Amino acid sequence: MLNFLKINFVNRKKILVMAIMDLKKLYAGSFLGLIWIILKHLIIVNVFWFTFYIGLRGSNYVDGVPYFIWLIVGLAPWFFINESLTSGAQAMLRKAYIIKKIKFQVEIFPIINTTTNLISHFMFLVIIFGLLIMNGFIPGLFDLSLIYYLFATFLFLWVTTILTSSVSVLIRDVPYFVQSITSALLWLSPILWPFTNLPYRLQVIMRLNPLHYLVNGYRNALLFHEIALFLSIDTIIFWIEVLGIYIISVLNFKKIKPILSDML
Amino acid sequence: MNSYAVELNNLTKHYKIYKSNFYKFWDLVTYKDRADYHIALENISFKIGHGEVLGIMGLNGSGKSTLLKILTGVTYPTSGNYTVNGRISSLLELSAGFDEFMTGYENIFLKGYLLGLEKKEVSNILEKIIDFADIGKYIYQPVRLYSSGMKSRLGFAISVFVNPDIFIIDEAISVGDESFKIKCFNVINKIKSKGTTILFVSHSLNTLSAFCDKGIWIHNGKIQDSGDINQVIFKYREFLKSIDTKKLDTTKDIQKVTDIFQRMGSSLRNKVGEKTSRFTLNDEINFNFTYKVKKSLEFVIIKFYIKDRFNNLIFENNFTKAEYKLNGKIGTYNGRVKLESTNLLPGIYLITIELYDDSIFNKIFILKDYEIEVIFNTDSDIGNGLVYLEHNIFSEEWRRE
Repeated sequence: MLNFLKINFVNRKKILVMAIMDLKKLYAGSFLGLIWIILKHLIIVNVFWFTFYIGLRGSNYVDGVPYFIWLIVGLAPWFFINESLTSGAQAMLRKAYIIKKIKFQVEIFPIINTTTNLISHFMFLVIIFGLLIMNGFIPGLFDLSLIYYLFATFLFLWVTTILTSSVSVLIRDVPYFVQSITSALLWLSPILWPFTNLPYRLQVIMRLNPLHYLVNGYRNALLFHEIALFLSIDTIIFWIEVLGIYIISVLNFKKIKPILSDML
Repeated sequence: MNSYAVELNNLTKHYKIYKSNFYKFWDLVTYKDRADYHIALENISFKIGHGEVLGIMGLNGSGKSTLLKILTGVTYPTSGNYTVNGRISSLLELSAGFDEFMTGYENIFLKGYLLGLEKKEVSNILEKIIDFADIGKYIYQPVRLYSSGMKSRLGFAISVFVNPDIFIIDEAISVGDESFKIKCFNVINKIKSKGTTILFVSHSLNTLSAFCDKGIWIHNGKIQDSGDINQVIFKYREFLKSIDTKKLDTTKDIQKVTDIFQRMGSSLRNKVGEKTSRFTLNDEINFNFTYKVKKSLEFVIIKFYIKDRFNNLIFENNFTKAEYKLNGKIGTYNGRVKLESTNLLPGIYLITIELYDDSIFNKIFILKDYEIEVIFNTDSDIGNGLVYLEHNIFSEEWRRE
């Protein structure tokens, strides 16, 4: 359990270097290169804004915040989550060319994948801060709580990736499964619509959804600045979930590791 | 420092074979075992000292690659244990660990990290690698655009220059062209002289015997023989011969041949007519053989050749010439190849005699790789090598023209 953490900690330098390599590789050969990370997200945000604000005639403000701003702040963590989970499910499969040929700490492949996505998430966050400032949301001290939510998102994605990436070596359906679930979660979580639209009973269930906790946290950190949410019971629920996934993931990983290169 | 570079104790590796991926997963979850097994390695134990060069031989599928995979840490043994002291660099596949979408330059760094080097260390050897790989401008192009030769050159260069303590070479080197091969062997020789432990897998027995001190022959996952390289190679070669003739017996061609020819017997005799396989320098060597022609032929062709023990051809007759056409009418014949004053220097030589029908399609072996030993005695110590060449020495006073 702790050994797994240790391996990842000891190799932190290598993880960062390889994550950057992977990121460069992702858009290598395209004209616009890394600009695509921002461009593709902005296009989707505008499509949603068009659908809900123009097409479905939604309200212009959610809790006193312009819909577009509210939308993009909520979509930011979702982009991170979506890309990290879908690519994470294949983190081992894509590295088969290394795992099968060279002795390597396979434990660090999940975190490399999450780190790659974290870096591209940082780039998008820069754009968001720019947008916020342009619209009069001057970042204050409370915006620092975003660091906590970044950390929480990162850990959640990492522990999930450990599980999905290793199981998908045995069951090749897992990446498809993860992809379907994450795209469903976009619509089932309060990302495009406000949480308060839900009836009370559903609200209780929704609080178990880690995506809700993270998206809500981003919005609170950047837009609403409510200290109460930060200290709510949701935080405890979220961390219990992350710890649970971590334990399952690592136990499962230990079993799969010895046969990993034979199965790939 | 441990006294051995590599130590293996009762290493066993089973591969599980499942009917479907579902069983694979379910077994893992439920701790049950419903797989079929393929035994790749069984109770392998050996030790390699620091600086030793070990040659590994065996047929395809005998478990050589699995053994190397375990040693490099890519896969794990089912039971038994092993220790490796030092950094391993392997040439399992020259292009292993390359990312097709990154440039050659970036791949050098990637592979460096994978092998456990720091950025600085990679930078230090960068120039050497690029220089050795010799791929010019392509170093800044993605590896997917490389030819297979370029990939293996770059791969070889990286694996060599990371300064491994233990170096594993699979068949890989035989990929390149001759000049690249020579370059590789020069570098390997350098590494060898530095005292690096080398594990060398090859099907080329000549290369093995030239490079290695010790040898291991693996057959069906077990060590069949180990020890001095030449001794192991000798046994392995004997074994190869035996399966070769077994195969021939089952082929249809041979059945046809038996309708045409029959081999009755053969012997090696010296000048006096005694049966022997030991000769001294300039001895007369006679190969006597008896064969039966069962179907009337226009003629029978005889071909013979002599090789040294590393399979280098010393002489082969030009069997297209008329003098090698023998009587082909039905009957039993005694044949003889007489070598007068052979000029072979002391050593072991292999002779093969073959008879062909007039179409040169069907052949029988009269003798196959039959060993002749030319023995050493002090009277005949006239030089070194394979063959004695007639020569004369002249010397006269130098005068300006």
